Amino acid sequence: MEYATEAQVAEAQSQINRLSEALNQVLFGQEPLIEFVLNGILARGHILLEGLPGLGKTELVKGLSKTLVLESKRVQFTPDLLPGDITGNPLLQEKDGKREFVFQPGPLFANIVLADEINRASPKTQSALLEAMQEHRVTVLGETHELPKPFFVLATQNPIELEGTYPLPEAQLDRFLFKLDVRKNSVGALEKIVNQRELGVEPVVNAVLGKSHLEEVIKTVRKVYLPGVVANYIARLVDATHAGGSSAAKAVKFGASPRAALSLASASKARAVMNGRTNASFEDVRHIAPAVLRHRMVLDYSARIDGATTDSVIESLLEEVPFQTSETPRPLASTKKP
Amino acid sequence: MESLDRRKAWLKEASSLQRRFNVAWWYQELSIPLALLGLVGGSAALVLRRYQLEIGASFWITIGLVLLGLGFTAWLRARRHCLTRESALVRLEADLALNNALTTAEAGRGSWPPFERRDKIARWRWGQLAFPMMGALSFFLLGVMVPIAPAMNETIENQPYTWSRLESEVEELVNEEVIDEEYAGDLKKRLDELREQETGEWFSAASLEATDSLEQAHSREMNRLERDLLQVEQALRKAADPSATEARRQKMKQQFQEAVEGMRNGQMKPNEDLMKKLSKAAKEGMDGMSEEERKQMQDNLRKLAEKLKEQGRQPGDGDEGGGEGEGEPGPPRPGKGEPERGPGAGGDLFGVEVPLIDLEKFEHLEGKDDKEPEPGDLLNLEKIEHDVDRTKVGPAQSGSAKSKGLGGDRVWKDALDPDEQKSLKSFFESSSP
Repeated sequence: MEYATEAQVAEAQSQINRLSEALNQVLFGQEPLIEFVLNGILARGHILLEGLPGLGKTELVKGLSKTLVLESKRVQFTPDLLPGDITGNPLLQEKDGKREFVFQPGPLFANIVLADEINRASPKTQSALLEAMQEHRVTVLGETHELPKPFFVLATQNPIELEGTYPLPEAQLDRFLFKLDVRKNSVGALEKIVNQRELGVEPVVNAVLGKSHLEEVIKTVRKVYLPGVVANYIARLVDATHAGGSSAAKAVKFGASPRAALSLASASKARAVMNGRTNASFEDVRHIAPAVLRHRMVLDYSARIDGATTDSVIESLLEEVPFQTSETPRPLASTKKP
Repeated sequence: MESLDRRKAWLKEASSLQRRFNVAWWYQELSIPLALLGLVGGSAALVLRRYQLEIGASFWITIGLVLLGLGFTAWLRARRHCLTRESALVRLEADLALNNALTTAEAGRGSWPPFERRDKIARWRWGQLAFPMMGALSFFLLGVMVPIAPAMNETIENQPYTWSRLESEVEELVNEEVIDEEYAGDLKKRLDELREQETGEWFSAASLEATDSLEQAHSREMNRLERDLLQVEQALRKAADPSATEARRQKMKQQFQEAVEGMRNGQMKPNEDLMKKLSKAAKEGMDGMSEEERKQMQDNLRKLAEKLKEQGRQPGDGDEGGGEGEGEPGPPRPGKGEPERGPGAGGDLFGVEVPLIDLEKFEHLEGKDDKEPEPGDLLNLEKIEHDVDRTKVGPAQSGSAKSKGLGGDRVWKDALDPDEQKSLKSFFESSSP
């Protein structure tokens, strides 16, 4: 297997940095969020953004599509939205004196699909995304249509406590690489927004990375070396999310799937490139673990009553699962936790 | 070149960490058995010293072999925890936050990071390290060095006093060159024979009798030797008297030779040097001695006799009164018997002469006081008759009733009180047709 060289990684890192800078000019005070979104894009994953309305989720996705020079479409999910509205419908057309069905592609046929307020649609419509997200294709009336490459779904959702929302099914949540919480802006960021923006005026965003360049960077990410010890750490971490796997998992009803382990590996590689390294590391896994695992674990009812959250459980897991299995003997004092 | 140097430095650091971890695991597995060995070894040393057994090479070899065995077992147990060089590299990069750069470089997928001398990532806990070792060592040194009274000393102090006294007397006589060592050896041999009995038998009647017998024989031998020495000295002195006649001298020579012969044949002999000189003098008929030699020998003999006399005297004892008292001899009295059997049935109790008990003439004593009888006293004799039911009972015809129902009649007339009788009577009257 061919691995990424330091030169390739350095080149990819510079491209990513340019992308990051461009996005930071669109969205103020959301650097960590932008970092995770780019990480998810480079890992070829779909991203679920959760936050209250008006925090810039849609703005971020629109900015991303512009900087990447990729075709993007937006779907506003509503309770009456039907599956055909997003996948596309066959339309009866007359051609050469004959009537036939011609497939009219829906908004899914784009490189970046912004599924805005995805949890406002009915479960039936939400499920229509499953095939598209997993297999990058849609099937309508028995006919399968390939989606363009690369294909990313960036969905936003309002917190489920709000009125008129349907929780996403676990199977669909599992298809998202990251679930990111969009936090409110700080006072400094708000001040910057007020000074540099005007209501109703779209910010000007420059194109930074072409499609071919993006594919090149993604190719470099795939070639990043994942050491065996890191793969072992990922496996132990995912196993520990299941009941009986660790003491922190006592609060967990359903643990993370093998897809979570694959997501951790892929996202770790992407983060390694973003940091200019040719290898993924323990630190990468630890950094992205909350974003990868928080929507893949279902907590026990009693644990939720006790105030446990997926983030607090993941934090305990990261404390509990060591980087490696070798213990420290009693006559030695380890200066740092392994 | 620089990369090679970095690799070498990091691998050296990893080897050092690996060594430290593996030694620590081995020591952790060894620590408890080591403490136990110290405890057991120290206890064994105490027991050996208690019973005056030598802590010799075999003891140390055993301890060494057990230590080796424990070390080997601890190594076998520690192996499953041991770090490999690869896992040591992982531990290094994890603790130093190197983003798995070492593992990647070792796999040939990246370059080695620059090596910097940093603090050790695992330090020795000296408390954990020293406690088991010091504990084991302390136990062991206590067992080997702590002062202890040997168990045999108690046994020696509990033996009959006469044995140790006889031994010390004879030892003193030998040390002062009064008697020959052969006698001392014989006496010690006989005392050892007594000691070889079961310790519970040391104070038995037979043992004490044997001890008395040995003591008396020793005393007799001392008296005899003293007498012979004085006799020789007297013969030498009288033979040298210028006023003595030839016949007198010859008699003294004969007395000298007889006394020397007696010494030679006796069990207790004077010291070997003196015995040789006396034998020579007896052989030559006292003629070969110069005046000076004779006087020196006389002095020597007197001193030896004096020492024997002193040794024969018990501490605190005066001379025993010799001969019988002035009173008339009393009648024969019963002996005290052996300690195990108790005293015999003597006729003299507290100095009062009582007739001997005739076991065949025992008679019973009767309690005369009827008001305060003792258990077992016969209180009364009375002639009584058994209460026998004399009702004639014979064969009866079935179906016929002999009882006329008088029993029920008797019950209500005798057992009930008047009110009950009245109410019962009225009931039957009212219920009868």
